[in-house]
Amino acid sequence: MATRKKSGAGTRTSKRKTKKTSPPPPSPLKNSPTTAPILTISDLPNELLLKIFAFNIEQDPNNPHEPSRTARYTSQVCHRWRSVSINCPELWAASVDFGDPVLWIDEVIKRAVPSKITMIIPSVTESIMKNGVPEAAHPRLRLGDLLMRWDCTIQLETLLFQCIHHLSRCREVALKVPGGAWSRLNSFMQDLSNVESLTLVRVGAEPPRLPEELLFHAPIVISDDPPPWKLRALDLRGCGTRFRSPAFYQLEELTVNDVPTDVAVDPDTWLDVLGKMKSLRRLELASATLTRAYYLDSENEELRHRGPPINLPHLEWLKLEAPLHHINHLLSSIVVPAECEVNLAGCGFSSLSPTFHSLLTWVDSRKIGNKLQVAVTSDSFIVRSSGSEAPPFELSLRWNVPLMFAAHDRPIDPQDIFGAVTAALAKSCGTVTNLDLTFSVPIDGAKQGAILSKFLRPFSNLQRLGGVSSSTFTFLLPFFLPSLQLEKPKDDDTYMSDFLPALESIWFVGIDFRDPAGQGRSKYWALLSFIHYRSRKPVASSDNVEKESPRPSPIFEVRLRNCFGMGEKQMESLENLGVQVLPRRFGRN
Amino acid sequence: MVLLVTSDNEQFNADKDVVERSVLIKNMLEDVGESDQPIPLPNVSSSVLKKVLEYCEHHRGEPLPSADADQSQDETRKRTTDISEWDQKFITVDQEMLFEIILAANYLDIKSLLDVGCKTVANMIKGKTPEEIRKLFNIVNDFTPEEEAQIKKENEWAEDR
Repeated sequence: MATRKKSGAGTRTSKRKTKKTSPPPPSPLKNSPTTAPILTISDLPNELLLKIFAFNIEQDPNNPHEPSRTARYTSQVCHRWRSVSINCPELWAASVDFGDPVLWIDEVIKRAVPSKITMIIPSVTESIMKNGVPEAAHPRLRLGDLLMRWDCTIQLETLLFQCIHHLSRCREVALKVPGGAWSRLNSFMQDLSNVESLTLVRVGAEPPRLPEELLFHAPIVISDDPPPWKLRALDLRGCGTRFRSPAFYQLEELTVNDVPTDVAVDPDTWLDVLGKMKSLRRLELASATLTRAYYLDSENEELRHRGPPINLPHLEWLKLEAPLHHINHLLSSIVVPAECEVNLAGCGFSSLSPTFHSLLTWVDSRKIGNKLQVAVTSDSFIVRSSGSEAPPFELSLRWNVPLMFAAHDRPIDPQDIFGAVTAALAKSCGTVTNLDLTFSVPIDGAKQGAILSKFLRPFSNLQRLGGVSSSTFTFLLPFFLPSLQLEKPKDDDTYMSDFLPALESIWFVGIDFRDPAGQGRSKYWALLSFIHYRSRKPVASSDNVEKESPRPSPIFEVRLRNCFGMGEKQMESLENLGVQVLPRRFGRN
Repeated sequence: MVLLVTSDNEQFNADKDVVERSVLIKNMLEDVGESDQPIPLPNVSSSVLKKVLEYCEHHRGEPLPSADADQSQDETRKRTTDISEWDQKFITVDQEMLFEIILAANYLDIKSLLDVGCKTVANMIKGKTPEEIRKLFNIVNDFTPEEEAQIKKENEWAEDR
């Protein structure tokens, strides 16, 4: 509660006090609006005036008004208000009213399009537009979401022309355009000299290629001087181009997604293009290489790039989503800086071909951080890593058929993939302290003891094992059950339960710890055995010589999420072994 | 408790969690640490601080707007002019106090109070002609003849139905 006391009554500052001596003006909210108060709206700085104006640019159901008219009237009060409002493009960008006459709309658009604004002109659906006129439910459309149709009425066609005319002054432009309307962009594309960031999204199923003569129609002078274009970021979705213009060479960000087969280019062509883009910082090619040749020849597709490696020294972020052999081909020809964040998604993965092993060789050269996630689902295998000392890394292998079904020449066996990937990562696993291992398909570790052993052994510093699902538990069963060492390597007398010597915390997800009827002992029993084993004191060796055998860490924490079948008594048994069970609840946790 | 001293040299004692709705005061307290030193607020008079503290007291414990919110988005995209019933009663004051509160909220960096003040003024502007707005806020029409001509033209464009 605030309390107030007066200090130094004679020391009050005079300015405010002088004001206070005047009788307070009647409230304009209740009384006459003509009385002049001492402090007026003119005392507010411009940024507060603008904030006030900004509150009026959308319709207010509690206090209906016409935002377009309010914006106009606000700019007509006095010189200062006009200057403040006209110089704020966003006020006008939100004030386009397609019910207004064309001349006024043109003026509004002119005010709304300064050097910095992102304009989006998507195609339009019949539900929003009817006969070229916005339906009653959409009486006003903000310019930022300007919806237009290219074969609409004359007025909208005129408006579109006006918009395009003003768009050329923008620095950031995003256009969502029906493919059949690319040619309408011609007038806009003639002058992109101010555009720094261009996003083109093809909507619908019309012809997708964006002819380069449309993209950069104006003559380009190739000289020692930098080209006049300022384009730094290009984002193409559902369309493609050949990148012949030098204007592309200074791109810093290039994103190309979902290029249709008709206009897709193969990895060799991409390498030719990328070789000229030395300033690239971000590169994403996702479904950008799926040419007709790929569909005809698959992995037998002829890829010829034999030139020197392409150096992209500024690359900070790389995402490749392509068939495995395309990724492999690109990576074998590009020098990716060690500090670059890498995301690889090998789609169409159907066999353990040599390209897979080539890719793993590349993966092996990456540093793995201290956090690693491995997930195996029915159609993908994902490895993610991150950490303070290494850039984030993701390898995702996807195939198009269920994991356990035959595909092409041989079945995909998750053990094969798991073994190959983890072997490739093994050298770096010693740095991992956090591992999330989530399987949603069964992989039987008891039958694949050698794989399990090879997988677990390198994680010498792992402290937390998370994401342990029912399938993961099954895979790890030999680790959890000290008595079940079926596939212990003959030349190695280490019990699997002694692997992960630094492990202190295990996080389970969606596990039923109860006894499965007629299926042997429960997962709870296995966990209890493991925790009991890990909590044992060191024992003296049989030759009576007191020697301290290195003991793995006891388990201190078990976390349960969406788990069943661990009651109060079971939790107490774990706690008696020094384990904290979280959350501490009965039944489903 | 935190001791605040206004421009007219009055002192106010208020709970820390009340005054910390002001980002300015919160930062000052963090900078000086635990101290009995009064915090001077040379840009806020006692009558205005009293209102500001009333607002902060009422909204004590409510979540503060996140500091990492995009400022430009925040300024230009949050258009709603909804004002809660209590806030409406609170802000029903004469124009001078309204603008004093807005300036104080801006100085003290109390975003929610600044929004309430600005929304109130925005609501006063809505639906009024330029002349009505001038009368309401006692603003002088200082347009040049050229600007007047341009405005006339704009209105012709806009009203040509």
